[in-house]
Amino acid sequence: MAESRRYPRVDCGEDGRSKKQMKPGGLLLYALAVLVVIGGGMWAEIGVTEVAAGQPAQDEFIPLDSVPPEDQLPAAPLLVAAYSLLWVAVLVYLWSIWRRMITVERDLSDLSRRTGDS
Amino acid sequence: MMAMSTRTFGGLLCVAGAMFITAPILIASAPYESTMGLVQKIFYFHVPSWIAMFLAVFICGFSSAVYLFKEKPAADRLAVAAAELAVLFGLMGLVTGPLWAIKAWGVWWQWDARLTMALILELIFLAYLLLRAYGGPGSEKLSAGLALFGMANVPFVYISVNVWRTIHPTTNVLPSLSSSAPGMFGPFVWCMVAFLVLFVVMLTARVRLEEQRGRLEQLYLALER
Amino acid sequence: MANFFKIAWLVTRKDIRVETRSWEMVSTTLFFATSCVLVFSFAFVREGRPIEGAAAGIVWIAVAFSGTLALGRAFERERYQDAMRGLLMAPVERAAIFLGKLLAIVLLMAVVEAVIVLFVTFTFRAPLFRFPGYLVALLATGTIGFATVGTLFAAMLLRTRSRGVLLPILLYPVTFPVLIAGVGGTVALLQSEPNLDLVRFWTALLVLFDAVFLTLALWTFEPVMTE
Repeated sequence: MAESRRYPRVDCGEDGRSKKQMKPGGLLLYALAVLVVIGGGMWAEIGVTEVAAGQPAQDEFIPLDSVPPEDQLPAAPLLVAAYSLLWVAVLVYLWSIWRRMITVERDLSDLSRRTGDS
Repeated sequence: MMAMSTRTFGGLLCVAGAMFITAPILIASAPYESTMGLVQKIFYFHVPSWIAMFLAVFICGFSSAVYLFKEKPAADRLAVAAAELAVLFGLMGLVTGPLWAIKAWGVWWQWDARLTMALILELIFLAYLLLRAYGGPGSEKLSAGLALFGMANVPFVYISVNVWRTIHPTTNVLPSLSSSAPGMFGPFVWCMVAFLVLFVVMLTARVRLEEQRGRLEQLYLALER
Repeated sequence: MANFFKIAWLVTRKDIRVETRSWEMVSTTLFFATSCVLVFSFAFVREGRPIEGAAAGIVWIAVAFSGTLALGRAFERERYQDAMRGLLMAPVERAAIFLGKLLAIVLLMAVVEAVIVLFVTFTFRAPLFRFPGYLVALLATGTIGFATVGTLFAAMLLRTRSRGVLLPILLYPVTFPVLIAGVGGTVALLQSEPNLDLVRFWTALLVLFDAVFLTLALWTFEPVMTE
């Protein structure tokens, strides 16, 4: 870091947070968002289990070239939840990079204007 | 370091998007697994997530080593970007895994070796990000040291499943996929490539953000003088 | 080479000498460890009977917690009057300084662990001393692994803001494998029919961990401590 190259072997002390550092609030929000989605997925799963329990029991095996419809339904919400979570995670991350980039580039143009003026 | 033109970046982003949108079609056409049925299809996203995470972990580890010993700032920028991606893809793996497990094994989580070690890796790189956020000035070198130790933990993740008895599918599933279930191999490779392209796109974007931040720091310092 | 170990021993002796003058770290860490085990005994011993399999985990949790405390305190000492900078300015290999500090921490933890094991044996009625050789091997390799990573991180964080909370955050995930192996081995040892093969396996794995982490730590101590 440039600061430490200027001031070698000095305790930098309790100064303000460097703009270079990631905002902790973003990390927390991200983690919370994932927790909410997991909670939603679990809630969906609990609802689905009740449906599956109400169906009649099978007393013979059916070959697995085509999966019987009774077996498909309970798994589908899980599958959908998994895929949508992936999409959400990727999109949220790309959006967060974009948002941080906007802030940094705005500050950069501000500063280069100021250094240009001064 | 990541001198990618905007056109290449945009192109790769479109490729990744297109591959992800068409992936469900391929996955739906793949054969069902005989014991796990529909829910096994999470495999097509779950395994590439973990592979992407390990890739990120190794990139972070190696660039941290370069930063520690050669003091190249570009290596540090790459390390931060890779660490964030490691946490992201690890999170995706840790979320899709239990969603698969609850149907296939009947439990959300199992404390077997592979899951445990994967969780540990996720925590290590979360700790990396916390250190960067709260460690104050000079935390670049410290987090580089942490990343090296994190990378050193990875071999134990991979060999552990072969040493322990566990209900997690063994590592032999993947290498034999092309011969044992050829219908699954194609979609799997498609998803793997899609994840890798997405990985490169996100890594480039994140490294660019770090570069801009570095420039901003330089400008602030120039202003102080 | 001999010089390297001589320097390390000098650093260790310095730490021992400082400690024997006040006994501050030994007494506070011991007290903390016993309080820890006591709290666990309130939670896990019901009507005089301990919960099955709790003892192994509690030994290692107490080791981890008191170890973290000891590491924090050991390096806090080096902050006063820039003692660490003086140490680093000495014309010696820095890795030797690291080794010296590591040895001192391991010695301290050995003393604390002896007391922890005794205490757990009595409060949880765990037959920890049935195979003392295996137990000592497990504890020794586990402690060395934990202390190696801990010493490096504590030294690294010496001048960092929020170092008190950051040390456990960094230390525990990286040393989970050590703790898991330690607990696994201790559980195998405490079974009604101990699985000695498993104990040997976990000890061997711990030796592997120690080799890898010690090499890494010696290698990275120098660049991490410079700016």
